[in-house]
Amino acid sequence: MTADVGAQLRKGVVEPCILGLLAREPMYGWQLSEALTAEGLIASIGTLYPILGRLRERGVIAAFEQSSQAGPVRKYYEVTEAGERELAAFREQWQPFTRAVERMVEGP
Amino acid sequence: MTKTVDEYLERLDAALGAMPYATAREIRAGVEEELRSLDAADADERMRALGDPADIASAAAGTLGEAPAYGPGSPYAPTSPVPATRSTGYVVATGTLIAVGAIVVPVVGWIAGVIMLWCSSAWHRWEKIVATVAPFAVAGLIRLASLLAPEPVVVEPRGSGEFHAPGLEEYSANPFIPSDYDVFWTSLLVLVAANLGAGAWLLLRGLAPQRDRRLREPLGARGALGLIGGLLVLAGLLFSGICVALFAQPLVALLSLVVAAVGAGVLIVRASLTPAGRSI
Repeated sequence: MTADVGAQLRKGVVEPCILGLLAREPMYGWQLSEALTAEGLIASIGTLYPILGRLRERGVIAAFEQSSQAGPVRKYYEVTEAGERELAAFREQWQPFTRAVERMVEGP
Repeated sequence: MTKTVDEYLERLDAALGAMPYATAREIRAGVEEELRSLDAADADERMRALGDPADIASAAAGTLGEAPAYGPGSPYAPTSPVPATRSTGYVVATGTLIAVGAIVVPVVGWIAGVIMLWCSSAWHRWEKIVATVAPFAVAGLIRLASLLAPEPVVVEPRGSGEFHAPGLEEYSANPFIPSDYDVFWTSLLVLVAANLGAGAWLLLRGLAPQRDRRLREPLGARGALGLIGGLLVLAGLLFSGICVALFAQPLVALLSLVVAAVGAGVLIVRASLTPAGRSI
């Protein structure tokens, strides 16, 4: 996504994107931040943590501590049952939504 | 290396100063955890990738100020209502029933509380186990101690009205040592008091903010060892204390200390296991 496409669009999808990433495997803060900044979904790690806080408050993700391969204990995030339900609902709506938008913005 | 990392973290702390404590703490912890896991060269590169701490803080401030796109009231995704067994009312009812249920509606009240406790997702499994078992464990220890207590002494008057000096056996009972009778009723009182404590503790834990519910609640080897080890240590120490202080039974006290030592050993073994999936 280019900067011009707009912060609003990103804002609408970043939470389901985080849920989607975490549904595949639990990740820790920096891991998530890298994956999201690589696609331009967040500006920096500073953007990530408040969103994670909101997701935890809603009960769609949960945090836990685990020692990683290299040894140090890290704080991981994983998706909860409620989070998987929310992600499934988003998936259902996303396809028809994007198709509709594409049809409408298609040039001549 | 550590110096530059510390400097960076200090600048981050300064930049996060105006932020709500919870968010600031999360950001700080996340950045620190990442930097401390790298060696000097990698840490330098990571700090470059992270950018200026001031930028991190302003990005966070910007996100905090936004209205959330999802959540209650948003038409785009279904809301995830708090399940009934985690609502404040339910938590308060459960805690109260455990605390005073046995007194208000004998036995049944407490059973109702325990059923509500185990049906609820408001507490981790280990919390449920402790709240259910601990009051009985404590009272049971005291009851066990009653086995050591002497029978209550009944002093029979001797003779037919003649005055005589009391014999040795009439004065051998020490009124300061609780008798069997005393200990039994004390243990019931302890049970009630312990349940009060358990209920209050459940309320505190259940109503605390930001309690994540994980998909699976693994008690795991580490969790089980922690419970067993902790119980053995506490039981052993408590029992040996009772034996020495109340009944002057050093041998039994020593045995209890051995039990406590076994418990400590269990905890040491547990410490050597890597922590996996400990819920925060």
